Amino acid sequence: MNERIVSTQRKGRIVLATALVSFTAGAAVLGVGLSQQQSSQSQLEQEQAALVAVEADVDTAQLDLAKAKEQALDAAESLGSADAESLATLRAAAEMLDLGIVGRDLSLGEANSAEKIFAARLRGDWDEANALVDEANLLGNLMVEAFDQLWEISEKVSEVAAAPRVDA
Amino acid sequence: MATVMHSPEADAHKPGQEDFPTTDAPDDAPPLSESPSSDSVPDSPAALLLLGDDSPREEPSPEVVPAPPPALLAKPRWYQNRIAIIAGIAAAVVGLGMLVGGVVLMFGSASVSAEADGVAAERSVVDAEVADVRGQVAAEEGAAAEAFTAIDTLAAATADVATAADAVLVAVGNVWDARIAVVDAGNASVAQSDAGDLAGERDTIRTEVKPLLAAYQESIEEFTQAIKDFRLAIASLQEVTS
Repeated sequence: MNERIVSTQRKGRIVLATALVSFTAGAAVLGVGLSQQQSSQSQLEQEQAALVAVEADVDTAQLDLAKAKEQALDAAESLGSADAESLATLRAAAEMLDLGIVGRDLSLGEANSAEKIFAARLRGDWDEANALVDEANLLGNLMVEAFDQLWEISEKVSEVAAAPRVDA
Repeated sequence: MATVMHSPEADAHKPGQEDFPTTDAPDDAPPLSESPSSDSVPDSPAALLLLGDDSPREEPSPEVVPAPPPALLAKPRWYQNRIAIIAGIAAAVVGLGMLVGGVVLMFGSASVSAEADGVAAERSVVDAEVADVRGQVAAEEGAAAEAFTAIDTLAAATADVATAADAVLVAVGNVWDARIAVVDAGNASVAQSDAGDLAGERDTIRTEVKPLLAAYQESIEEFTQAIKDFRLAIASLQEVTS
C-alpha cells in the first residue's frame, strides 16, 4: 500500500512539475504571440490609415493638376490672343511710323520752302517766290495726305492696343 | 516495553488507509515501578497499590491519544494526489494549448506584418504617384505663370506703343496748327503785296511770319522726337513679340 502511495505521489509531483513548466511556457509563448499580434495589427492599421490619406492626396493632386492645366490652357490662349493683338499693333504702328516719317519730311520740306518763299518776297524776287510756292503746295498736299492716313492708322493702333485681355 | 494506549477508533483499519505508525517508548523511559519523580503522583493502579493508596482511582481515559508528529499529518492522502495529478494534467493541457495558441498567434502576426508591409509598399507607390502629379502641377503652374508674364510684357509694350502713337498724333496736330498759322500769315502778307503795300508785307513777314515759321520748325523737331520714341516703342514690342 505504501509503495502505491509513494508511486502516486511521485507521479503527482512529475505531473505537477510538467504542468508548471507547460503552463509557464504556454503562458509566455501566448503572451509573446498576443503582443506580436497586437503590434502587427497596430502596424497594419497605421499603414492602412496612411494609405487612405495618401490616396486622398492623389485625388487632391489630380484636381490641382486639372485646375493647373486649365489655367495653363487659358494662359496660353490669352498669350496667343495678346500676341496676335501685339502683332496687329506692331504692324499698324510700323505703318503709322512710316507715314509719320513721310509727313515729317514733307512738313520739313514745306517749312523750308516757306522760308525760302518769304525770303524771296522780302528780296522782291517774285518769280522765285512763285516757283517755290508751287513746290511748297505740292509738299503741303502730300503732307496732308500722309497725315490723313496717319490719323486713320492711329485709330487702328489705338483699337488693337486697347483690346481686352485676360487678367493675369 | 511500555505501550501507548490507542483509542478504539485509531485501531480500526480502513481499506487503503495508512496506519499511523506506532511509536515505541524511548529506551530511557522510566519503568512503571519507578517513579519518574518523588514528587510525581503515580497514576497507574499497580503503582497505586504499591504505594498503599487504596483510594479509588479513575481509569485513564482511553480517548487520550498523543498527537502524531506534524510531518505525518501534512502528507496528502491518496485521493488528493490523484486530484493533483488530474489537475496537473489539465494544467499541462491548458499550458500546451496556450503554447500552441501562442505559436499560432506568432504565425498570424507574421502574416499581418506581411500584409502591413504590402500596404506600406502600396502606399509608397501611391506616394510616388502623388509626387509625380505634384510635379506636373508645378510644371503647368510654371507654364501658366510664364504665359501670364509674357502677356503682361506684351501688354506693357503695346501700351507703350499706343502712348508713343498718341504722342506722335499730338506732335502732328502741333505741326498742323503751326503750318496753318504760317499759311494764314503768308496769305495775309501776299494780300498786302497784292494791295500794293509792299512795306506792310515785308513788315508782316518779319514780325509775324518768321516767328510762326520758327514755331513750325520747332513743332517739326518735336514731331521728329515723337517719331523716335515711337520707333523705340515699336522695337520693344517687336522684341517681346518675337
